[in-house]
Amino acid sequence: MGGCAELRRQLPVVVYVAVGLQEGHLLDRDTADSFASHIRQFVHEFGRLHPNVLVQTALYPETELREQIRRRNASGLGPDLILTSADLANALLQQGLVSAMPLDQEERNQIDPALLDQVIDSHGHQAGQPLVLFTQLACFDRRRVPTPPATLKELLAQTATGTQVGLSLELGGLLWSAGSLGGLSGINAAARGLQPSPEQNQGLVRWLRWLQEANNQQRVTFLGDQASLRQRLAAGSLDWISCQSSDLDGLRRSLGSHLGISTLPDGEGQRASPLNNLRVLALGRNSSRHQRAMAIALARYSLKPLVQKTLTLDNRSFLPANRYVNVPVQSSQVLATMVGARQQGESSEALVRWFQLGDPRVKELEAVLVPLVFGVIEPEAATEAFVTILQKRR
Amino acid sequence: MRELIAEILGWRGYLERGSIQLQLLLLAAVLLGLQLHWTRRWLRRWPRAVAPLLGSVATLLLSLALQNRSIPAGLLQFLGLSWLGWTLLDLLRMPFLRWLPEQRVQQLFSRIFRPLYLLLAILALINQLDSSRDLAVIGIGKLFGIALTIGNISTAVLVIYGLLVASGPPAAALAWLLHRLIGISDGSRKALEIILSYAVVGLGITAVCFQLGLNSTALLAIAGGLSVGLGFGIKEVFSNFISGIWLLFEGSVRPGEVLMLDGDSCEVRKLGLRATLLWRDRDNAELLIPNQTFFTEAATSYTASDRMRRSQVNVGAAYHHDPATVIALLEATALQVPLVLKQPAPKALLLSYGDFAINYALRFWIANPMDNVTICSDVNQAIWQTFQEHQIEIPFPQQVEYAMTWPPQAHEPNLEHPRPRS
Repeated sequence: MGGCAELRRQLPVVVYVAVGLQEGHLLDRDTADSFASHIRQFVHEFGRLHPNVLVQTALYPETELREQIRRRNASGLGPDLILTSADLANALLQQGLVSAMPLDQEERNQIDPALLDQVIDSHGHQAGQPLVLFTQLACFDRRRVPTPPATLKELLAQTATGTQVGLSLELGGLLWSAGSLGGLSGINAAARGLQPSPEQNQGLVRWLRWLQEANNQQRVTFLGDQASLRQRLAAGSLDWISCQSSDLDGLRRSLGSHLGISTLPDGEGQRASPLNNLRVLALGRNSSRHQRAMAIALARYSLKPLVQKTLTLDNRSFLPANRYVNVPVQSSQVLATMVGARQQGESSEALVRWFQLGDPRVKELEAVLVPLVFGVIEPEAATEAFVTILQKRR
Repeated sequence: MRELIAEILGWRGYLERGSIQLQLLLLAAVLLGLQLHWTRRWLRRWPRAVAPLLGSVATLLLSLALQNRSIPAGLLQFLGLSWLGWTLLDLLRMPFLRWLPEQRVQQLFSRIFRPLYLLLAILALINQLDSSRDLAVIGIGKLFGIALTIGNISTAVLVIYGLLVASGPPAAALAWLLHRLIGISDGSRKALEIILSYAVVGLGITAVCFQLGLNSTALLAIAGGLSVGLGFGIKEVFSNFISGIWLLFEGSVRPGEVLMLDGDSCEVRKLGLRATLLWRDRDNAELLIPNQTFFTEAATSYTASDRMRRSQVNVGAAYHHDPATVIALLEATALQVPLVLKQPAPKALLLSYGDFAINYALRFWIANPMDNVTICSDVNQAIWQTFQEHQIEIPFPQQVEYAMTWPPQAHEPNLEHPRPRS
């Protein structure tokens, strides 16, 4: 028995990590290489502490991740750790597809409370451990947009001077402008099942009217998804788009030093409301005792300030979840912009709780947005439809 | 490649999970149980094919039992279903055998259905263990600046294999259609079928190269490299291949043709990339002759312009029978043999005056050159019968010895049976 235990200690433990690819990212060679290099670097450092561990990653499009985990769990082949968005981690915990992440008080203290709160269910279970935060930004080509617009007014003014602006027809790609135009509180109220006040209603109408009017501008183009916006910016047919910081890797490869980023334009006295995407580590259900222990160790290691700082500085695509990590905003304009986007996004953090992947209301709202943008329905009618849809219970 | 090997080796980590161990143990138990119980008499009464059916169903039932106890059993279920599918695949042969010859069904199953099923099952197993889409983007090197991944190489190999095995039936169908519409000969139909098949494979390979990202410059470079390779390394293979294509166009060696090889008539069964497959009726042997042989050496064909063959049997009749009677009898006899053609009419000839018999030849025409030996045998039998009926003697070799008279001028010839000199 002693011999067996010794042999067991010597055999490497394989930890399986399933990584969800955010929407708009294709599973291609570049993406796989990019992830592999990030993970290799991270695992290499972890391997110094736990030399007997092998980490194997598998990439899945986030839209398929839930089904993949359900199927693999049913076979006993589920991953030990899942790197995904906060909302999907919540859904996975609710459906019993992942185990709650055991975090002690010290670890909780290290995580930004606002981020931690995004992955706690109504029973107080932790759906995942926050890892990094991707922020929603404005990406532009410096050659054509020397000074990024700080407000929506400036944005439209720049289109008049020749700047080609691209906006998404997806709700997630447009909600940032609701904050700038005072429509956010009406959305929040309706999403909580309340009737928006006349003022809130006015804010919603203002936001939707702006979208409709924007589409009437000659140099504003609405596209179906984020990937198309990214491709057109890289190809040079658009000059300014709303983007996610997860897009930066690919855009840097295409535009190099010409890529500029800024926070999304605010309104007159109102801040933009970007939807920042929290990535968390969730625990799988099929792990052996050793795999579970090692998965937890890996998750805890990822939270360490030094690891978080190294990851942040090396990638410059996300912000750390550990609140004790000092983000060097003085030395990096990119990180400073992401911190600004994070602050902007505080206003929309309540929205993140309901704006989840696969929420049927999102598709219904998008079905209203398209005819509105193309002038088929009036902003007032669209506002009514929005409120009715938002008030529906999930 | 190292990345792929590391990925595959990483799968062993699943073995340390209790639920995986349990599923694999149950599968092993089913396999062992089946092996042990098959020796029992009650099971041996059943056909052998029942064993895998029983095994797969037992595996599925065990997986359901595990699921009822909320133990993960998807892997066992998958393996049971794959096993059952493989077993049921054999049953599919029955309906195919109704419509197609057995050899064609065997080809369909061994070249298309079984490999396809196996491939799908392996892909599904990989999807159980890993993300096949993730594996597909693993790089294995670069060719002319094009990054090659497991995914695009596997797809290319699959498409080429698919073209090689599956281009046959559509090409055959098109050739058959042209055969019916235009009225081309059966041999031409078979030649057209092969040419179409090669054309589809050639175009397919070019399309796969473009799909991989190789541009025309890269393809030209490959073609240049191949030329050098062909010149030195595989000259014979290439020479045979080109000979085969040439022979197809020329139409001299096509499936269905009958050629003489070392004195035996052989039917061309298949004109392959390297060699031609001939069938020799005499001993039912299949001969693989390099295409180059037909290209560089003289060959006798009975089917180049038509399929008729003029055949001949030789027979001797005694000197005391009137040659005109014998010739008439021989010609009438040939006409009685069923497979001898009436037109052109059989023709008997007096060939020579032999030592002990007058030698005749009976020439007749047959429709299928491959039936020559059989028909000759029939004709010979019929001649024997006719000669018996008409008391025509087929003499044995004989020699008359007598004392020499000296001087020779004093010798008196035997004039009882006059014997003209030839």
